[in-house]
Amino acid sequence: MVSVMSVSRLPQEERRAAHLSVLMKVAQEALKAFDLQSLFNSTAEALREHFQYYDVAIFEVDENREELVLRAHSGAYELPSGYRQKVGVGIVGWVAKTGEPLCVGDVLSDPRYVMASEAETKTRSELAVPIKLAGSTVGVIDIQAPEVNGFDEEDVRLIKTVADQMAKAIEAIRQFQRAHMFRELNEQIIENFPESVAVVNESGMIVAANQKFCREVNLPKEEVIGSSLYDIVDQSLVESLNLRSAVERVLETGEPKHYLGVQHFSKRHPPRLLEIHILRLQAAGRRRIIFLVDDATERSRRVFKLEMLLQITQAIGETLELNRLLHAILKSLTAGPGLGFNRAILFLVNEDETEMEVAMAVGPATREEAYAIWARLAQEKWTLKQFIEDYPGEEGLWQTPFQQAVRGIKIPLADRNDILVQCLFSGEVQKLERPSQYHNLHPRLRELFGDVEIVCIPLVAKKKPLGIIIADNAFSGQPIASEEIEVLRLFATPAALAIDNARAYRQVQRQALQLEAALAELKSAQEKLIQSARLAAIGQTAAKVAHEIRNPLATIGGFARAILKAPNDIERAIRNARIIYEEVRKLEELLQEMLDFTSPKAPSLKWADLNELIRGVCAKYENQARDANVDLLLELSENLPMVMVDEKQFERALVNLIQNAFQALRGGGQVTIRTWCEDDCVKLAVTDNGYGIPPDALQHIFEPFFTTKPNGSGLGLAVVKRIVEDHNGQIEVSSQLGVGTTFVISLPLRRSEELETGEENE
Amino acid sequence: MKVAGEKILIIEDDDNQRLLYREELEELGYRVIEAANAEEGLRLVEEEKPDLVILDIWMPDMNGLETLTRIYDMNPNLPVIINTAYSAYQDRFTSWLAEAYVVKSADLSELINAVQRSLESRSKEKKD
Repeated sequence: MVSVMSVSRLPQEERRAAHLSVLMKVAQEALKAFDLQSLFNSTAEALREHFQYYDVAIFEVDENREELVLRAHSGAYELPSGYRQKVGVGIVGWVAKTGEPLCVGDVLSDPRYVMASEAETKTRSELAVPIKLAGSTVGVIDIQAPEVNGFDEEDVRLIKTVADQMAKAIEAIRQFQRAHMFRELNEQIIENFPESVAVVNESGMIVAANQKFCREVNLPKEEVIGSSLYDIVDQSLVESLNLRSAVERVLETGEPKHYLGVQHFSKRHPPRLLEIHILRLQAAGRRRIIFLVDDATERSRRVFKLEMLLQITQAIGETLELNRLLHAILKSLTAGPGLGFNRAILFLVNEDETEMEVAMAVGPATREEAYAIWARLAQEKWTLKQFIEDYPGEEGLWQTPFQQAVRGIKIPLADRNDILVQCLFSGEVQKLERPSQYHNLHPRLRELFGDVEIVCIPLVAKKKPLGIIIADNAFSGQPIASEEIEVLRLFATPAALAIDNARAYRQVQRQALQLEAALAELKSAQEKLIQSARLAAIGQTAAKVAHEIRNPLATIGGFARAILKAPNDIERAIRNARIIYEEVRKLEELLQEMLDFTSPKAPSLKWADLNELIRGVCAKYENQARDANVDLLLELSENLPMVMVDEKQFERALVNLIQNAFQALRGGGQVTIRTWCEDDCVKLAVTDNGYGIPPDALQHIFEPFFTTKPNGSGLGLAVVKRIVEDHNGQIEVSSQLGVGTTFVISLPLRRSEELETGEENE
Repeated sequence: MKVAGEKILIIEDDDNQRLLYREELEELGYRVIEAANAEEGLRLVEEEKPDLVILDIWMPDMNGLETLTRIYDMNPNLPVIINTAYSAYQDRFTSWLAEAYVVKSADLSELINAVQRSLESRSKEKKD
């Protein structure tokens, strides 16, 4: 062993050079060291070797326990690793406590000296230097020499420098470890992310990625890390999302970019709906991009299902044409990737419940078409309303080859062998994996579906079988999972309800029609009753009728006979003939009135100016009025609204009233006709200043065959009343004996308005 | 047949009918007085004391049967012939107060016969 004294006796320069070289060595080791242990080891080794110190030990402070833990040791003594010494105990402890280096020339004379182990009997001088980090002691370098005063100032200075270097190295290592830990932590986090995530640096290189991401891009991790994001990610996505500029933007602005509803079709996956998020991380001057791919297919399926269900249930609440709704349901079922079905057929049971027939079918013809449709639908985010509006109409239901292939397929319900009939009546969902194998399936369906798995779901409402929906997954080629079947079930329920509803509604409609028909019959019966009441009224006065006819007949006959008896009495004969003529006229009038009364024609209404009508009738009576010395006065209101009347009938009524007035004015008088508007009615009054009608007669005046006159059938006023009532109007009479009589007819305007709107609606 | 120029009262509202009967009866030698309504008729019954009344049931102012009863009250022996277009009243019990019930027709012979028959039987009674 080279004496330690020899080193200290080297000339200064040599010593300095030796010192520098050891410092370098330590520094190098420090740089190489990844952990503290190797740092301690290599430092201790370097020190002992270069300076041939007797014994070098490096302690680390365990702050929690206020102990020094031996970390590295090189030299003569054997010390158990993990040896601990309390802070404050021994020279090392003293240094740890004070934070100041200590050089003891003779340990034996120093009360602080503690012998760490039996082998340390050789030690006479000791140098301990604290390793300080940010002002606190984290370790101690301890060197022992067998001779007294084995260390000088240079040594102390050297070890201090080494201690400083070590301090830096420790710091660096700790940071490194932190960073390492950080990195490890990061990696843990990233790995456990539920979505695929990659961390990308500013130049687009992937610095971290989780397994999911690697699976997503189908590359091993080693290949992923270090590759460019734009090379790794599906080119179609890079293009469609404009990934490069998006990433750059995010890097620059820090604003995250979210892509929702990205359709991704690739050979490796079933069609998916993705959400892609690009976020920026910035720390310690470095920027990273987080690239996150979220497979939202499931989620969106669920949302789509729920949305569709909600919309369908709402739609059922509204009155909708059944076929429209059913078509929309089928379409939304096959609007994947939402629900996972490609094609669907709807069978409906007929009203007699004897068979079920294909009511409609939907589905694309090829995979490409399917994809195209899905892309469009997802892009445009179709709602049920749009499906409902998109209804192609009855003719449009049978356009595609698929639709034509299934059109007209009927399955008699009596055929209990048929698998669809069984499904229908069992109310249970049936899954057929290879339809072609089922002998009890309709041949056309076997042919159509072949080996494509289908699901049959019966539509039942209130225990009545209404139909079946058959659905397949031909293009996505995915087996139909129980979840899909659940979906089908969920959609089948409102479909069944809708069908049931529509049927019930149709029934109600039918019943309503029946009721209408019954009502119409009732009305007609009522009219007949009124008619026969009229006739009965006449029947009751049949005697009167006979009287009315017999008198004139008897007169005619009598005078005719008289003529025959004395044909040569020309004067007599002429007079008799005149009388006969008179009586015949009476009969004619009677006949007319009776006809008017017993078989009234429903008024054929037209717009008319009442005033014009009145003037027309009065013109005919001018002469008669003059002859009878009657003044016929008209007081007609201007701007009288038009009314809907049957002109002929109304003229008749007016004529009767005028005649009646004339008859009351034997010997002359005044007849006034007034028109005006009042109370939503057009009013017409005929006033005479004749005898008047006695009060007890007044109440019977409109009765058929009631007359106070010697001549007259008594039907005139009854006919007037009937005509007025047929026009939905009213007639009133007021009279004062000796003063006169007034008849007032009221024709409601409202009726005309109703009729007007009726016409408009046509 | 002997006609003693008996006075016949016609109560009838139809002008032309009255004319017809008057002419027919006067031709046969009877004297005829007319009333156009029951009121008038009853007055003439009282004042003129006819030998026979021809009465139309249907009168504007009074029920013909009521008129019949009134006439009977005034003079139970005065024969009244109901001459009417109505055939229904033949069964009414008050009709039996009347001497005869004739339904109007163009052929007046039935009426004339009834008049002659009842006048004859009355004159016979008077004689007895």
